[in-house]
Amino acid sequence: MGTKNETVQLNEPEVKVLETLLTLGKASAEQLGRKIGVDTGAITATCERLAQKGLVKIMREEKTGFILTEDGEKYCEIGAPEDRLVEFLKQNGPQKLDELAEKVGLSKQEFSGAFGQLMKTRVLSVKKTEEGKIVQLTDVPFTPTKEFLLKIKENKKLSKEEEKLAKQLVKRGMIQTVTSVTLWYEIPDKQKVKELIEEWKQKGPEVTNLTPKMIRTGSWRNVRFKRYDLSIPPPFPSRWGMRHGYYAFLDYIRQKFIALGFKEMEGGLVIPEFWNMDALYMPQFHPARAIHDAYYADLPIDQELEEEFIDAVAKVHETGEGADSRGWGYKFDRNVTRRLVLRSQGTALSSWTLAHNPEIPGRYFAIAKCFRYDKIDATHLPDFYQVEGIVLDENNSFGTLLSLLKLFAKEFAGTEKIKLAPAYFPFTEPSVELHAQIPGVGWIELGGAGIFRPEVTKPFGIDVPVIAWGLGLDRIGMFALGIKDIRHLLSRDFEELRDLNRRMTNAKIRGKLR
Amino acid sequence: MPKLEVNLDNLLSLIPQIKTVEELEELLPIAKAEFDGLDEEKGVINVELNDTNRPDLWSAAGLARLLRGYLTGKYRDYDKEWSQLVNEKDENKYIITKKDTKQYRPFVAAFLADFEIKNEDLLVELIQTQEKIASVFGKKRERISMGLYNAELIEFPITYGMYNPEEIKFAPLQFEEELSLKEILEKHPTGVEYAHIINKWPKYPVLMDAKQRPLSLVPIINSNDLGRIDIGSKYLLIEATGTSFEHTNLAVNVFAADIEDMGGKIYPVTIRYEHDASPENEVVLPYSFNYVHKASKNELVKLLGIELNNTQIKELLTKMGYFVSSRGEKFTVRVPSYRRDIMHTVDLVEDIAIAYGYDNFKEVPLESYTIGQAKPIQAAIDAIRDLMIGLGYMEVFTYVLSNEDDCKTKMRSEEPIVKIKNVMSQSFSVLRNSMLPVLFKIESENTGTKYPHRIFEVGEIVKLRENKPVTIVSLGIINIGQSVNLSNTMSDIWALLSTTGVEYELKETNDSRFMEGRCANVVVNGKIVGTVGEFHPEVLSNWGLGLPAAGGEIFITDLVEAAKQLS
Repeated sequence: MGTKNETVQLNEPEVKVLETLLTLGKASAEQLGRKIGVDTGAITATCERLAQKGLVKIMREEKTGFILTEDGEKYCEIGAPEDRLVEFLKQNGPQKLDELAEKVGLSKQEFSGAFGQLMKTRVLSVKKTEEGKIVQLTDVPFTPTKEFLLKIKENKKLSKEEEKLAKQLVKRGMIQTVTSVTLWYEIPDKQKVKELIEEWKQKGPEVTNLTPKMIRTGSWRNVRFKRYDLSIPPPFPSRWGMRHGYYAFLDYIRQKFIALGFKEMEGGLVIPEFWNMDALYMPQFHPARAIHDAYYADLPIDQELEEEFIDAVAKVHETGEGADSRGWGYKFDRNVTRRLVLRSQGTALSSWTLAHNPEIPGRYFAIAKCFRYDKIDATHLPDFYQVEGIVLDENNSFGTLLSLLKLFAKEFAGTEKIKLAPAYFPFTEPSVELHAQIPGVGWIELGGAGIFRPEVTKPFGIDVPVIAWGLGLDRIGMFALGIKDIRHLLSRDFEELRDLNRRMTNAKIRGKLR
Repeated sequence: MPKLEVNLDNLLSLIPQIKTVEELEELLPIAKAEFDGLDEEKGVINVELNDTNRPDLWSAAGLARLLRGYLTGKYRDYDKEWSQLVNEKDENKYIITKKDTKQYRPFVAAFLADFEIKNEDLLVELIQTQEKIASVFGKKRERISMGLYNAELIEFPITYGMYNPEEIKFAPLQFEEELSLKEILEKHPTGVEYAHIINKWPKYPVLMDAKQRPLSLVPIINSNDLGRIDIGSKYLLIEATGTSFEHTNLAVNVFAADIEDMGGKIYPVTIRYEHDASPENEVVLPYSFNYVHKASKNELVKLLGIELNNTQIKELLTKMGYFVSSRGEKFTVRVPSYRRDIMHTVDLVEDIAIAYGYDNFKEVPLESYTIGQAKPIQAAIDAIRDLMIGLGYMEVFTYVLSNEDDCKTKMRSEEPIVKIKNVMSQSFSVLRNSMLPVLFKIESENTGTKYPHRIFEVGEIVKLRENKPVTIVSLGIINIGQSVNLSNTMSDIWALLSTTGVEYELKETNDSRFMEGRCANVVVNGKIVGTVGEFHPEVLSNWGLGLPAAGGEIFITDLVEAAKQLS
């Protein structure tokens, strides 16, 4: 262990302050600053640290002083009223009292103050004549008030006499009193400080930066590096790249599904109604369609959609042919199905996949941007992400589906407490809704699922049961990151973005997102 | 989705097996229904019904029928009862459907009932059910609409036919003065609301009684004299018109079952069709669809992944309201005529699953082996995002929907854009065709934050190429701050593009979004895959930004495509 002295670490500014204090004895921050040539703020901070180390004693002194008012400042420039009055009389000789104020250019108030002052000090006298009262200068010497004001402005020390004068000027509104605090510093144990400085000097000079030259020549050995002050917050980084918390969350979801053996699907945002609705056995007339009201693109209908797909789907809608179904029993409109809509549900990607030779067994998912025809406000966003998917497998059963949902609840919401409720979707039968109990939140709906109706799969030649599911991403994200408001999750505010990123990183570090 | 608002005591009195609202709440999932609140003061319970294909559940009586049947396994066999109905009161109860209705709204269905409307609650409930069927199942009356009448005032037979808009007059409900059909569409609030369904037709459909008195302008409004029911009405006519034979009859069947469940006695009405749209010339309502679904045991059970014997299958189906018989492995399932939602055996499978209880299924883990994979472009997207983050850019999140002011005017861009036809809000009326406007929008929302800002986002945009909408993935970059210029931003873009390892060229171009002489296209294999430059001061002012900015956009989809062709 080191000696007592060795535990006190000094840096260059501290040594400078101590040395100066040794010379001056007792000194204020201003005095030290002037002497050393650094600003008072830095001296105060340094002395504060030295005081903590027990090397400097701080004494507080309160002092009343004066400063100029707005008027005072003005008179510093143009002269106080009495100055101008005396000057006028000097130049122009005695004057009539009732004309004097106007001639000198003083207000009534200025004149009465100045006149009173000058009469009191007998600089002026008044003579009564037939023409009225005449004002003239006496022999009494006059020191212009302006000079005194300048003295105050420069903060010079005042004599007892001057203090009196100052109080009068306070009354006349040229100056005002202020209380100032001065901190005085002195060194209580001079001997100890001298030893410390000596010791510090023996170690060589202190430098801020390690330079290439020092490394090359080895001169770093002979210098001491300025200690880094950890108490000062570092400047804000000039470049700070980071992921958006929500995208980072989507990355996490994607990674999870890939790990579960799912392949990601992709597709356009503007698609024929066919994929969005008809291929999902949502009849063109039915209320089920209204649930998925969509935005329509102001474009001509799609001409590229394959006739064979339309044929197969039209047939199943009209008569159920090809799927052992009764069908919906109406005339399918082949133009309606070609209308271009903004994808309203991620399931549109699943129906497209079914029609394009999916793998069997196969698992697919999509993180799909969707547009729901709905009023837009703070919590109903114009477009949002859904995660949807399908599982094609000969051995699929409702039991498989329910197990998969339990797996999702565990993986994504971290809970095994779930409720499975019967549900209705036009394209699945049986259908189910997944509710999960989230600690501290309660029961919430995580998503919907079911087994695609044969009317959805058969037209595309798929003969195995296809499990279809969709999970609400936003809620899962909110739990994962401990956010209460969806608006925060999708934040557009740069300050909040850093907070969101911090939450995301923290959830990963604490193992909450695995 | 239909929402039901009913008197709790009424509902509970229809299900004697349960006593409390808690028990009811627990049972509701059987009907795919959700408890949606209870107004204790009024004693009214709100229930949300999720199955848009089951109008038979959209009333207290209908909902109670299923829940009661689920608990007891007992249902009234309405098809059987209806087939034995005779009109004791009068054989003459028929509606003549004229030929001219065929191409507009060809079908009508009706029945009569001895059923006293004892109180306000009951009146409101009947009207509620009727409205729900017409609005949700009937596509806001376009496909089905319904009417209730005091049958004591009406002379049979009724005629359903088309009339000139100014040919006849009657006082519609809530009106004292007589209006022509045309005036009803113009003056009556309900007329104005639903006029669009019929006002393009040369003639309008009207129900008229035997004394040539109008009962209703279909599907708009009933007569104030003959087309209303009140508290105290005892003998009712319930009618539906529509565009689908099946669903018009179904609507009336649903109502008939409800009235009977509430203690009413019903009498049939015969529809005589003078046109050939109906499969039968004479149709007696309530109508029995005689729908029998045949399925094997395997078809009924295999999809569930559980073992059930014949008795269990029969029991479960019976609980859900079917009439079931079986011979060996073959099941014959008769579906009551207030339902038409059974299209495929899977519909029965679901009801078996619901009756069995979703919680009682054993776990069956996925066994097959599949390989997971991100979508093909994702690896490129992630690599580029990593580079941008490494270069000190902050990723932001924006919306795909935007507006022309943002995408065109503010950006000084003339590029065509995909517009939305049925705009909900003018702020979100187009699909963005570039990432830049949405990034600028976010900049304009963050002017209070310390500069410089370096932001980027990889997102989907929709380009109009050969007048077709093409969705592509695009990277937008904005660098904005006191000392930003093209030269220091180009360092970042150079770092990005050179790291992709794709051979690219920068070709000077003129683009009104950027400053002249400070803008270039990024060209790969002769194809433009992006544009970079220093943004035009007018663009900056348009977004309320007071600092210079540079950046641009790289179409990742196009870059990846061009790079593929290079190799």
